Amino acid sequence: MDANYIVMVVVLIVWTGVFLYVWSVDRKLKTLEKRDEG
Amino acid sequence: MLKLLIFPAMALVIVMAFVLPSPMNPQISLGPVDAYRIFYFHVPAAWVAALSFVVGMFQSISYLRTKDADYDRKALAANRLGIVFATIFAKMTWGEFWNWSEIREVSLFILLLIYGGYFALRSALNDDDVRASFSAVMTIIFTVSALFLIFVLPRIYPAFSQHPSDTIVDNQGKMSLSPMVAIVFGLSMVTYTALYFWLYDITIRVDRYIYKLKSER
Repeated sequence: MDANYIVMVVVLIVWTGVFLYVWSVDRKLKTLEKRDEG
Repeated sequence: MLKLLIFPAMALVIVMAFVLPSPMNPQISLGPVDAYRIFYFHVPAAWVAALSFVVGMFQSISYLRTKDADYDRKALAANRLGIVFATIFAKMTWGEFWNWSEIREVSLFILLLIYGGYFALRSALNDDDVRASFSAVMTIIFTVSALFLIFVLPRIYPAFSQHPSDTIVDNQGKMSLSPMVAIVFGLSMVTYTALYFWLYDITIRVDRYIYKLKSER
């Protein structure tokens, strides 16, 4: 397999991890903000 | 829900960056042409860093005009993210980890020192109002320095840069990107900008939440 495609798959996995992490931080923050409002 | 679009957009940029031919012409390439695929990520990261410093400057001006501490938190968040995006750069672009004769690398190093001073000053001052005022003035001065170091200095001394100067616009001022490369590059710029504003929003909200917890104690 072309090395470029291996790097591409690795980058996609890293990006998925980064996105999920940022998304989870956003969700947790929203939960905290809602809890404080209520 | 727009935030959800960032994921497939960036995934598409990643796939296209590896599937499309390298954006560099192999006949004028200084190194392996595949290394120039970093163009799709490196340039938007630099753009977002510059944007972040400018956002920080406008928030600082707003703080000095209104003395509203929320603008200080917004400026701090922008400067933090500016530094994060400014440090995303790669060895493979120029083939060496560090090169003192590469004007863009040296400019970035000076920029890191300048903003290091900003964060050091913030941590050294205990009074909230004094810290916010000093930080606002420093941000305005530093942003002018940052824009000079990012955009002006490398163009005054182009001979000291190993970065290709004709990647986007050639010597005649014409677009040198092929249509497909230009579309992927444009999508990457938009996606990076959207990602920046999302991270900026989260950073401000975290700072606000921490401030609220501290003030309730």
